[in-house]
Order: sequence, then structure tokens, then C-alpha cells
Amino acid sequence: MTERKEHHDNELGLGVSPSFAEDLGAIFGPPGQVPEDVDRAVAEAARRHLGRPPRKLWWVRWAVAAATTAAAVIVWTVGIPAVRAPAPHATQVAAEMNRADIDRNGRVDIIDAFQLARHIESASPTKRTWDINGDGLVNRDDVDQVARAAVRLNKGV
Amino acid sequence: MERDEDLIERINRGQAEAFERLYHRHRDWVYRLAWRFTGNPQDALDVVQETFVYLLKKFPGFRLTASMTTFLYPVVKHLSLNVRRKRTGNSLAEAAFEEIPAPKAPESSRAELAAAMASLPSAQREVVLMRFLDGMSLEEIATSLDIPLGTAKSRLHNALRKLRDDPRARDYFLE
Amino acid sequence: MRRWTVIGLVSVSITILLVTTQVGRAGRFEKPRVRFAPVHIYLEPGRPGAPGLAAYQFELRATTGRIKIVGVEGGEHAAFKEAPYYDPAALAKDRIIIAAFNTGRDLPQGRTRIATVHLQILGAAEPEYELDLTVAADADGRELPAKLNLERGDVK
Repeated sequence: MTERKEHHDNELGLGVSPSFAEDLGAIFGPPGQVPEDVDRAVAEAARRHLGRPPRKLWWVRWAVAAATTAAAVIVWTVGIPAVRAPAPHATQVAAEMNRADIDRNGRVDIIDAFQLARHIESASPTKRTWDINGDGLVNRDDVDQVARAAVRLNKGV
Repeated sequence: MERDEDLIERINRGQAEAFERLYHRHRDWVYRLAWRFTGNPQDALDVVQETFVYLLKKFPGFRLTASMTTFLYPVVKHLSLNVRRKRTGNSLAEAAFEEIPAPKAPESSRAELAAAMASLPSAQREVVLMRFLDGMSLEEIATSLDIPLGTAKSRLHNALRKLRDDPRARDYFLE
Repeated sequence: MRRWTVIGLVSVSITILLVTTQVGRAGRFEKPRVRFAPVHIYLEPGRPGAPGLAAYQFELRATTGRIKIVGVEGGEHAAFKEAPYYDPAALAKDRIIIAAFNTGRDLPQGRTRIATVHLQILGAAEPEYELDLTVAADADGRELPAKLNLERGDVK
């Protein structure tokens, strides 16, 4: 921040003494600090409003994710995985859009992400083509990638 | 240091401690700004609390797409306007709402700078304070005030030029 | 000749006076303002008793006026409280596609606020918006006939 200020000051051609900011603070700064009771009130409001889910639900969520991931990996390794040559840059977006069309209706929208999420959560068999990000797994990361493809302004078509 | 965006991500996941960090990071800036708009310490503290309660109610499910100061600046201004309206009983039009020229009487050694600042047009004074008191970059100032960067630069340049030529403030300039 | 010269000079003077008055008046009323406003997006099923909403996607764009998107917020029902998906590239434009889904069973029914978009309004003109619902679906992924409407929040 100091470097940027000095750069702009120099850019404006007017060097300003450090005491300028200090004296402005004395004139225009508020009297004193924010008292602790305001800090406590805000902290209390945050704790009441946000809270946290019970720890056991976090563990359940992770357990389900681990189980479905393991199932997906097993299904994936049954077939011979093809070596994926990197798609040419010019068609990369179009290729991703094609893979992201989970329900094969010719368009990528949030329903594709929704369908993929339901498949994963139900631990039903997944397809290799649903590994959208190419990491060897079909999981929530692929769901997010499909969703991001759905809302992309430039769909490369 | 965690970025604001990362803290917001954690707040969306229910981590109250992340909201406290965000609060402490921006609290003093909000207080200074509220003080400049209200000129009253108790009102300014009320605005601080209301501003962060307003922000808190956005969670979970909020995503920041500009800087925190850009997001909070109009919130602080609006809440300060409400407080001033209640206190003065005036139906103050928002377009006419500006920072109080000098919220408190300064000690004599700074009285001349205060007088010089009060003589600046309010638009120039605001930019000087955002720059030197709030530590905002010219880009952040331009975005918060919705003016082109060139306008922010020229307001600051003209303000500093006036202050430099003002015998009450001349000594703050190095050349 | 002299008379016509005088008439000509007076006419030019009056014209200059009128023009500068108009410019001055326009200058006074065209002062740019900083305004921030939330825009609340509501989805309403096409028929009463429709199944709960599990997924939606819509596009919002400004057809007049200039806007800058500064925040995106989730909806009122717990199923859509989380911030929805959108393309960060939209922030440099005045058009955005927003979508979200929930695979749970506790889903909103009837009219519900699905998202709030926080906008910075640039300039004095009040923007007009266009809202297109791309898709809405129920828990089985079946399309739900529905319509969107928009409510402007308090301008700050």
C-alpha cells in the first residue's frame, strides 16, 4: 500500500508529507476506538446466525462421498482406460460441452449437473465420459464443472 | 493473510470465526466513514453495528464480486443517512447527502489544515480523505464513487494543488 | 445594411444565450450518481400444487441503462440458500446466467425467491431488465412449467 501511494503521489507530481495523513486522521478520525461491547455484539450475532451443523452430519457426508468415490473408481478400473490425448485448444470448450451434456439432449444446462449429482449420490454406475475434469474420478468436482459449463456465457458454439 | 473471498467462503460454510475476522478487518474503516457521514460518535457506532448485521444476514449464500469497500460504502452511507434523518428530523435528500466538512473542532495546531480542508469543494475533500485517511487506491475510489479513474485523479490533483497553494496547508507538501 | 448587421448580431447573441442556458441546465441535471440496488428474482410454478423446485437456470440482462454486478446471493428457501453458480466473466458485462440445484427432498413449493443479484447502477438512467428462464425442474429432473419475475430492492 505504501509503495502504491508513493507511486500515485509521484505520478501526481505533488509530494505529500507523512504528517498530512496523520493530521487528517486527527481532524477527521473518530474519537477513540470501537468499544468492545460493539465487537461482542457483532460476534454474538454471528454465532447465533451462522452456527455450525452437528459434527456427526459432517462425518456422514464425508463417508457417503468416500463410498461413492470408491464405487466410481471400481467401475472406472473395470474397463481399459483410454489414453486421453489433449484436445486441440480450438475445440477444447466444445469437447467439454459435449461431455457435460449428461442427459444427451443437445444442450448443457443445470439439469445436466443435477442429474450427475443424483447419479453420484445414489452410488449408481457412472460413465467414464462423466469424468469431466479428467482426474480419473467421477465426483462432486465434475458436477461443479458441469454446472460452470451450464452458466458459461461463451459456450464455444 | 486470507483474502476476503476466502473468508466469505468460510462464512458461507457457517464459520462464525471467519465473520469475526472479516469484521475486524473492515471495522475501523466502516467506523471512520460512518463518523464522517454522521459527525456523532454514538450514531457512527450504531452504523457500524447495523452495517455488519446487514452483511451477516446475507449469509449463507453470499458471494462477493467486487471489493468489500465497494460493497460496504453505499451501505454505510445509506445507514448514516437514516441515522442523520432521525436525529435532525430532516428529510435529507440522498443526492445532497455528503460528509460533514469537519466533524469535530481540532486542536489549534491542526485548525489551519481543518480550515483549508473545509474550503475544498466536498467532492474534492471526499477524494482526499478516501485516499489519505482510508488508504484506498484511486481505482477503489473511482469504483466506489462511480466516477472514471481520470476524474478521481483530477479531483485529487486539483485538491492537492489547492492545498499546496493554501498558506494554511502549504507546509504539508515536500517541495 | 447596418440594420441587418445589428439584427444578425442580436440573433446570434440570443442563440448563444439559449444554447449555453440549455447546456448549463443539462449539466446541473446530469450529475452522475452512485447507486446500488438489489434485484430479487422470484420463480412461480405454472400451476397450483406443482412439485417442489429442485433446479433452475435463468439469464438476466440489462436492456437499457448500465449496470455492474457486485454480488450474487442465494434464495429464501434453505434448499437454495447457498450462492448459486454463475460465470465470473459476466461481471464485466451486463448479462449473467445464474443456476442452482438441490438433490434433497425439502424443496420450495409455490412462489419463492431463488436469488438476489446486487447491482451497481451506473449513470442516472434507471435500467430495464430482461429475464429468461432457461429451465426449472422438479426432484425427478422433470421440467416444471414456471415463470420468473423480478422485484427491485431498495436503492442505496
